[in-house]
Amino acid sequence: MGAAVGLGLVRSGAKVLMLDKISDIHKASKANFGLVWSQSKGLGNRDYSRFSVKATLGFKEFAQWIEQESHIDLELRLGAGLVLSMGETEHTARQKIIEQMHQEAAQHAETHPSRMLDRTELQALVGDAPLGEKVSGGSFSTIDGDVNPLLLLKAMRKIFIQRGGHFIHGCSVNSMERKNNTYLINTTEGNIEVPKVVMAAGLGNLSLAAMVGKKIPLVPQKGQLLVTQRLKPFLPFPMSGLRQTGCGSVMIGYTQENTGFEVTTTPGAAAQLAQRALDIFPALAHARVVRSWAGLRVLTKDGAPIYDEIEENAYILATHSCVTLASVHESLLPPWILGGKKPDDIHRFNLERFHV
Amino acid sequence: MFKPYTQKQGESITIDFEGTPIEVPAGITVAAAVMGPVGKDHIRRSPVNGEKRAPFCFMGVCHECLMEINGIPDQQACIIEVKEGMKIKRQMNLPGVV
Repeated sequence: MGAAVGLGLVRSGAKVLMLDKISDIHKASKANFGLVWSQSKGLGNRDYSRFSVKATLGFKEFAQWIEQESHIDLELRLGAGLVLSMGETEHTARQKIIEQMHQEAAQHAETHPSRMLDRTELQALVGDAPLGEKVSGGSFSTIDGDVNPLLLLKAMRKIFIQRGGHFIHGCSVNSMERKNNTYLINTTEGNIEVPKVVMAAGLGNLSLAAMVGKKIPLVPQKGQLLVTQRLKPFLPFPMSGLRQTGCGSVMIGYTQENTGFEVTTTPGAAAQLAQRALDIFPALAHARVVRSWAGLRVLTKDGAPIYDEIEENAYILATHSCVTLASVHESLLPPWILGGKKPDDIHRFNLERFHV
Repeated sequence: MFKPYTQKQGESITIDFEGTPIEVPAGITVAAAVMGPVGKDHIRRSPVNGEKRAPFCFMGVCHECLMEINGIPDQQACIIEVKEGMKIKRQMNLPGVV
């Protein structure tokens, strides 16, 4: 979030100082799975679904620009993403969700870019790797895909600096105080005085917002995943927590655990993830798992983003979906932060909605 | 990790490299032992594109030096010390699921 918005701010001509704390918890940006994903997002929340689709559709052009300016290949693959259903019960449930998303889109005279596939269609799409017997089918999107999230982060920071942004790594904020029309910020690297503050620190936003007396409804959610040895490329696109990276590793995800601020990996979760992966591709039994890790998602109460001005010239930005939404964060948020009108796309992603 | 050779200066041991006995200084890593003429310019092929690969970082980070040691594949040759009689093989197969 910070990298994308910081980049957009610099591109809009603002003078920007970005502070990045070294955290003892795996930050969401460094433990990310790398999906550019719209098909599952925004059930019951048309604004969020529409915003995710817009961001996904805009990702290609955004990535091309990033690659051109940074000379870093982002390993982007767009145009196919699958959510598999294991067994008829899961398949029916998935079908219901997708139908509902289509209905919700139709109510606004819009469309939702996903459809259900049966097992035969699915196997044809996947190619030579045989699917397990338990795979019944799944939902498919022709706009979703994946990207290397670490390279995306690196590239955005690189351009941020190339374009005149200032970046301090390993600097954390001790206190923040509003005085007249400025914010006085005490950091581990000294004091600064700025006219505007953008809090885009993931779960760190909890403590930053508290410094200006605000409480933000964010909670951590742990996700664990496994990584295999490098394998000959066989997964042409990401599916249901399985994705093969550009260097051949298969990432097997992911758990959703509400265990607070801790990132331990557990044998139980590893077993469950491995079993599901084997149910999908039995031949993965020959692959060696070389590591596992856990990271924390940044979750809001309703799963949709928060973009708000919590105090004059102090902005809070938080969402779980910072890779998918990178393109729109970079382009839409900066003009608003620099004094423009809040764009219609994000108008409802405020804090007020939680106090109804 | 980078142990000085002086510790075991003069001592040498014999390892088995793909069926050929090779005499190497004791105390060095497998990666060090197979560098140069022994490894014939590569110690494995990339499973992704079949390219030749060789040890790179020599400090356990990059995983370029994976070899089969005593029958166990994917061992990090750069952080494993040679032992008398150790059987070392290059990894030339391309593991996959298809």
